[in-house]
Amino acid sequence: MKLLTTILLSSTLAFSLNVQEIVQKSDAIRNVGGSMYERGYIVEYKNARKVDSMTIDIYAKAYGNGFKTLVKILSPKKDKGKLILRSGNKMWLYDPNSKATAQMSPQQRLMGQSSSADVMSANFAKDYRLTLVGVERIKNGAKQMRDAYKVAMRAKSTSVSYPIVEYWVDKENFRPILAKFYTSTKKLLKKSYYRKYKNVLGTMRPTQVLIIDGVDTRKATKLDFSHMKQANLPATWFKKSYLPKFQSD
Amino acid sequence: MRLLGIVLLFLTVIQADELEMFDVVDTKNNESRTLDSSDFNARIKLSYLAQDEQTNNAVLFADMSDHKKHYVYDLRLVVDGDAYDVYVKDLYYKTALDTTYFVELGRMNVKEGVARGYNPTDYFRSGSALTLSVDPKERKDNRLGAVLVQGTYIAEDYTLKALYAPKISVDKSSIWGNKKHFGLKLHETNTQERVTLYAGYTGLDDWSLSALVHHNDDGIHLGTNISYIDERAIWYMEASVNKRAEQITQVLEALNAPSELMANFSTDTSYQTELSLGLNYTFENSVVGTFEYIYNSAGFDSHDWKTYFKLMQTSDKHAPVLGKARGLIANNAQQMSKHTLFAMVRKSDALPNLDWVAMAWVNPVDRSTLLQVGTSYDYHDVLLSTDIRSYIGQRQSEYGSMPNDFEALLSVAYFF
Repeated sequence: MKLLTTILLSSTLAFSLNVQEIVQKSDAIRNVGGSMYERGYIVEYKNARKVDSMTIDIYAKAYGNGFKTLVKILSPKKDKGKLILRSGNKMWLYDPNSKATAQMSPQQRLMGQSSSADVMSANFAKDYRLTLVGVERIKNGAKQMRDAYKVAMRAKSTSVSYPIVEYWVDKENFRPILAKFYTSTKKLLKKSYYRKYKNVLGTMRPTQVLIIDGVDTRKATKLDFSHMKQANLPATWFKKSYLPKFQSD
Repeated sequence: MRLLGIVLLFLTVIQADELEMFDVVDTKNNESRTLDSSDFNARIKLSYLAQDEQTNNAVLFADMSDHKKHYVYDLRLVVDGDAYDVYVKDLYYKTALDTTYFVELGRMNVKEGVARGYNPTDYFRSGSALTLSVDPKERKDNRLGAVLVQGTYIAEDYTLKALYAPKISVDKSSIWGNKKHFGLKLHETNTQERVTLYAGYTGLDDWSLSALVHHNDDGIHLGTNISYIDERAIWYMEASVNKRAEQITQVLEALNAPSELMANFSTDTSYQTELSLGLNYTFENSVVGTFEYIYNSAGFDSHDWKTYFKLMQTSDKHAPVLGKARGLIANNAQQMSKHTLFAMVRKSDALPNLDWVAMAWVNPVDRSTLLQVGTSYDYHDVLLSTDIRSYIGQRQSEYGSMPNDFEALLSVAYFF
């Protein structure tokens, strides 16, 4: 009996280690380590027709197991110059017109189906408790059928942006394929397809995320990322007190 | 035919492959991504205010601002009928001694406070308002900075700030004062010597904390800001304490009101507390709600309001002074009553490109309410907005006693 318990415990440990590794490898594809810059172009669609668009500059810096991210809105003109900072669980919006900084929830909408959290670097392996559900054959962003690990994820703390996530990772190369984001009551909020893999900074990374509304699938938001590069960014940029002083030139 | 259309639409929805559908969109998405990434902002706005009791009014605003490496400016032109004025909201020099020490010198808008409706620790709001507004965001936008010097040290988990704003005496008719068309209005923004010391701590996962010590003509103010985030909820508390007289007494003193009028209100000096306690919550449907309780121990209680309305009705001599006093309190963006409730609900893109916001200021004692419902529609670089405001309550109540029962504001803005 004791031997059986040990075998069961060992196999459970090995299984959970594998899940952790799968998601860590996938995180390393989605996120660039160190400090980085990229430009994001967000387009909101309804019934496959463009409704709105937004362009942002994204600055991210790894710290500990997580990231601090600063987003500067370049367009539309009415929002130009607004800054969104995420540091750990906390997020702030600085408005250059009112020159005021307000704390906001990461779930607060940025545009269309995308929340501010969607454009921020995130470390799934650190923020979630992971369970490997199995291997499923699903269609990836390039519409090829692929064997994928299906991972069930539950947030470790209430301040993580999405309480429950289902995540599909390509079995062969650990590339993220699809994530479904749920409320704590398991209501589907949205699904994100990770698409258009390109060689960025030596690794094949997704340069597009297609977010489809959980209820009305005719509503979608597409996030295209470009100009990604590693950059030496001062730690001060990622402090709330620095927001009124921020100047990227 | 209509039935066939519905059937076809239904079939399209259930059969469309999500990825196929948006690949079609990819080919349509050819817009240029050339962008101006500078911090220059300019906008022009025409507003028309319709009121049920007072004269309707159209005002043109033009704003221009930029944030450069070593300087910041923010200018506003206001054209109201035949009159026009240029205001310098901000104009200051800034430099970084290294990546953690910063110094700023000049006219600068300094804003503190975690609360959404009323900020007890926003010590630089008095004398700074360009126009009165019920929207807290507009209040912050429509104000002049004070001439000051500020030093900031930003460390890993904390920030320290020290700030000094001198008292500046100027000739009111000069360019430093209220000169026609262009005056810096230093006699309004720098009426007293002020010092602020600030310490903020952000090292805790879900908490943000700050403490302030502010000194002005009223003596020392001790302030604090605390916020806590829990998934979709942000809980906050902002408070300030200092020893002074009741708010109305202070304002009447500033207006050199006669002693027989002053005698109607308490002249005692005691520790006064201002407190804002609230919750900001993001719902699953992207609606963002803010609910806030505001306490001002130096404000009017029901007895003070009764005295105020009695004097307004019975004394021709005192009524104009009291009216001015109330105007001055509003101009300083202070809360008139001891207890106020503030609620705001906002939905972005309630319809395509249409935002919707409703806010209410409620006096829970006399149950009067200021309700504002607004929409804004953006089309390319044009923003069209409407705000409808209603003052609800008995004539002798805080909001029911306002000159208008109803106001409507229509604005069109163009962003360059």
